[in-house]
Amino acid sequence: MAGGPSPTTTEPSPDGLRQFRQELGAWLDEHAASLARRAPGASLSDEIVRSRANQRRLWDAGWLRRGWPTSVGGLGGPPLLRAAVAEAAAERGLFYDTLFALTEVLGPTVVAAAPELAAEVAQPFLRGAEGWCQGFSEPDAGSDLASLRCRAVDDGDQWIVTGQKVWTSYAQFASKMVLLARTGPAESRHRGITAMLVDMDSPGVTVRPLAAMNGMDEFSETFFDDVRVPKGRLIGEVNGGWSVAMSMLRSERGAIFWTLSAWLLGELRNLVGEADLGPADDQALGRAFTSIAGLRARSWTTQHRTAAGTIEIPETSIDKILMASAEQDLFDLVQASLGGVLEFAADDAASAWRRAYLYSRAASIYGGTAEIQRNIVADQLLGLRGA
Amino acid sequence: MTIEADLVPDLRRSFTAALDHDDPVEARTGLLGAGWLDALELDETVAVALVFREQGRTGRDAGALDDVVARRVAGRWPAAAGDVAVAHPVAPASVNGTCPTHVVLPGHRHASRLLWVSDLGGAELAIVELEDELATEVVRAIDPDAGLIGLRARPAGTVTELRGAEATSTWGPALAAGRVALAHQLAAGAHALLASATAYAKHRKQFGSPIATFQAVKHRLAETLVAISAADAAAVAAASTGTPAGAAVAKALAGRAAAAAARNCLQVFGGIGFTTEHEFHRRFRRSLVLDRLFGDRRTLERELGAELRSGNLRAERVVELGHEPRLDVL
Repeated sequence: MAGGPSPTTTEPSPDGLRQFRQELGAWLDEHAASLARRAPGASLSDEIVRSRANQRRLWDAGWLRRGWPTSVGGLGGPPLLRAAVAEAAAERGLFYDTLFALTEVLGPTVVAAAPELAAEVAQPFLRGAEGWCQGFSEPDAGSDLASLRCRAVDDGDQWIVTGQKVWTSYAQFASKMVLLARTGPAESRHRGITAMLVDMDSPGVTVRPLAAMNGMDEFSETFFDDVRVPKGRLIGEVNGGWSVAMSMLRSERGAIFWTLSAWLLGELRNLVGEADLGPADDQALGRAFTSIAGLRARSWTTQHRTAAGTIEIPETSIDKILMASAEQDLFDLVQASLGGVLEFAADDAASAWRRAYLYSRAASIYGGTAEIQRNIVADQLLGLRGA
Repeated sequence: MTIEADLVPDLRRSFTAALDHDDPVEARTGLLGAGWLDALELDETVAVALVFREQGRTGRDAGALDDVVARRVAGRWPAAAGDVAVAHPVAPASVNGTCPTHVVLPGHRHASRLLWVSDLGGAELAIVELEDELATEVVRAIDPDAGLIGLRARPAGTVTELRGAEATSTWGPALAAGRVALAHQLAAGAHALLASATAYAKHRKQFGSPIATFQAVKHRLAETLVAISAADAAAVAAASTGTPAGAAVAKALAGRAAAAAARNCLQVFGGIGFTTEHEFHRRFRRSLVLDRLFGDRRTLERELGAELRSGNLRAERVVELGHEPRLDVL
């Protein structure tokens, strides 16, 4: 704990947050040499090992414990502190951001919806000692998540789970999965779903990684063949899994989008450094910058409103749309501006651009497609449901 | 000093009532009577948001932009203190012989003092004690209802000038403050247009159903709200951070949101929206004028791009978590 921050449970003033960032920045700069950097051409598994090592380092030093309750090994304080740490780490490339993001997607909801379970099992995940994944989508339940069919049958003090999940990020690197399973009748839709935490080494679990077009094979399909899950692994209420899922979606759009906006700003500056840009590029460059700035400003209001409890989940669909547009606009510009490097060059810098460009294509699909988000905005924010 | 949150609703009501005049000069008198200048002095962030969102929502204009700008200029150059009309640069003289180079807002058409701003860079500022009342020839172009007074040269009068680096550094904060104010006005105008198009889509029936049930229509309206929300958040952020780049971003995003609202909402109104009996054209015209004032969205994007290339925005982070939003989102 030497050199780490002291515990606090008080709401930081804006000055407090600024000071926190400064202290954190100073610590990260001081320890930069001992934090693992991204190696050129690193594979996904190298990156996961590196990211988790840095995560443990920041947890053990106390920084990542800020904003988590003491019940899961945290030091307390407001969740905004977690966003500040994630942002500083993203700016220095310390984590594999989409992997680290899972702590923010899954952690807060599990802590809130299953406090005893969280106290028992969450710390290794939050600390980076083990991975968790999010088992939501199925082959026939993508955008229409409420039609999922993976079934959990009541067997006394256990459930018996049978079915399939797909597009599960990092399942092959995970020790546990937050699973959404059908516990009501098939036609119960969102009212008959239960969330539970499943050990990935349980008998009957088979994980098959899928090859992704960006070359980083982060997601998998997962098969469940009479997998036994203890009832103590329940998250939220039986048949109350939908609200657990929605709560996770909201978390996903908090600190993660804030971090992502910082990463996008960094990538825009990298582009300016690497591409041969002239005055003719200024408008496109400025447009990409304003799109990222719009996402960042919106994400900032969202996080402060989340802290104040004044935001409804459907409002975060706006953040998701802004995120996907900003990321895709930026990488469209990258692809256009690199003059063939992205398409033809083989060096590590070119492959890094290529990976990020290809990954950006998924931004309007994962976490709820652009079309679903627009439906939510229209139906729930503009009041057009059943119009 | 700040305006206490529990006083805001009352202040909003009094500004709303004060602005409710067809004649901009009367609206201006009303706004001044409602304590606008005191509120601006006390808490610029809140006062500007209240007044400019209301001007955007209603399409009224009391010349409040001049007060925001003149206050910032006077902060560094006392000659500008007091009630002053601003001659806003809108186009270089070379553009077209019939295009004014400057416009004066109609709330200030009887002004006796003018702040002449040579160009958006603020190369030259001049306070002119006017010899004669401003010519009241209204610009009859895209938005005659705006009542703007066009100028092609600095009017005659006793002049106090500021030039060079002193002028540009005096003008910079005024430009940024004006951009934030206009961003609020544009975003609120687009928001009002969206509300109108949304209401229309719920009752206009085609193929036996309200057109709001069609996904293509829903998505246009949703897309509009997304663009407005980004612009509004950027304006709230710029008001909190006070950086010039933040103000440029907010104005650019607001111009973009207004353009998206115009395109999408006209599409939803369909044929009726193209007629002058519908309010659409008035909002559309005003958004074009407001986008042009203090730099249109494309010019702002170009300027931000040039700044990025020159490395001037290396440390620009738009907003920090430690900043506190002082305004509700639209």
